[in-house]
Amino acid sequence: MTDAPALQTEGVAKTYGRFSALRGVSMTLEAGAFLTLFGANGAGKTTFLKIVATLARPTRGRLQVHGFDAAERPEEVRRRIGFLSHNTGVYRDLTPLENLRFYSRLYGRDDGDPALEALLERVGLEDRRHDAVRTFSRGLLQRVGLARVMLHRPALLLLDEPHTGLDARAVAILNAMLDEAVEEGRTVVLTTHDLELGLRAATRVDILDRGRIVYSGSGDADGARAAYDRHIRREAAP
Amino acid sequence: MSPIAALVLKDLAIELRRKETVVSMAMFGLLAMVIFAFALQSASLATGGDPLNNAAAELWVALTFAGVLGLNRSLAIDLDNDALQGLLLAPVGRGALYVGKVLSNFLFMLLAAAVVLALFVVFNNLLLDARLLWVAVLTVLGTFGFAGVGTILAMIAANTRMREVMLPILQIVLTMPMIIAAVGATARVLDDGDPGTLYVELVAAFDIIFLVVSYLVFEYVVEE
Repeated sequence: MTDAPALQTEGVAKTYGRFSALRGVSMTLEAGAFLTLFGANGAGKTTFLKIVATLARPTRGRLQVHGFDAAERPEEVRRRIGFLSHNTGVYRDLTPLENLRFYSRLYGRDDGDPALEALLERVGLEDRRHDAVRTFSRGLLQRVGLARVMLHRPALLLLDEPHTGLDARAVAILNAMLDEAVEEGRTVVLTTHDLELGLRAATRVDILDRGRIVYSGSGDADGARAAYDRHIRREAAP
Repeated sequence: MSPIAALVLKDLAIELRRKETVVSMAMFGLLAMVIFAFALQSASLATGGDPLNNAAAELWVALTFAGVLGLNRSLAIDLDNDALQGLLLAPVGRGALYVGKVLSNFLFMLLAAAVVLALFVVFNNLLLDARLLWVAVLTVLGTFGFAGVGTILAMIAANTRMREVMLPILQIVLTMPMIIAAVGATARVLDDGDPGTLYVELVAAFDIIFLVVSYLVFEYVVEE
């Protein structure tokens, strides 16, 4: 990893026709940080993560991941990020092991089966590694997705409401893996609607509202809770 | 292993497990061939024409419809569970993703085309000679271009509400010039054994144009 910030954005904006999903988001995130991004539905969280993940191109602004400009070196950016959303990006007709084998090749790693099986064991799928993903529940599917995201040990993890549909054991596995990633100096950007899950390990909390960052603070729970109440709960109140 | 090889192997593994894309393409191609063969050959016999005159059209209609069906099914595998997003997140050039998908589609279409071609040989009492070799070469050339442009059109159609309808419309309109050239070349081969340089060059030129343009714009098609 370089000394450059894990993520740096300058005036990132995104419009879809006449709708502005993001209205100039600027932030600098140092390596090893755990940023929780709160926001009501439609605030722009997913759009922001998709732009960082190079799945969407910003209408304006620029961003760098570990010093690599997303517009100029998208493949270097992708090599350093892992993105998990509701859609796990795995093939239902393949087994978890086959999915990981495929993605390992795609990332140019060609990890051997023992390493892939160890990863599946980490997410609690060692007994299901030869079953077609088609037969999995939502929670198990999300675990395969988590293994896929962790496969190449990304320096920047982008997680869009990753706890959705997970049972208690899966939430514990996910949280343990995120804690381990931060201990290793990797960076996490998490979006969630769950205040407690969001504050659990956050070193920084930002709140997005209608495409703008309206609050940015440390992981201080009281300050973040007050800001959450001010910007999100009040917004949601009838 | 290269990303392109990984993509093709992945699609092969899924197809071996599901056995849906090639089988449905082959079945649909056979049905189209049988219907058109009976319809057009009956008309030819009734009017005293040579049934072989319509054979080239029968072949390409069957291959076209079967190909469109295959493209829809092939893309559905990548759209299921948004696996396509997983591909787009990999540190692989968009061009490599396009080429990998084209090769998979081409391979599946060729397998289905081989079945359709076998029935075509039987229906038209063709001998295993140079004429048949030319028909096979034209089938390979035409199918390659069809897969090349079809792969990107399937991606474009995927973002529309009526993708099952939109893909055939886009695909058939865009590939019509190539299909006309392929029918012309095939008809000439069946007539006198010579496909005609112009027709073959036209099919090859469409292949190159489709592939280069699709390769260049693929990045913009898959991006939000």
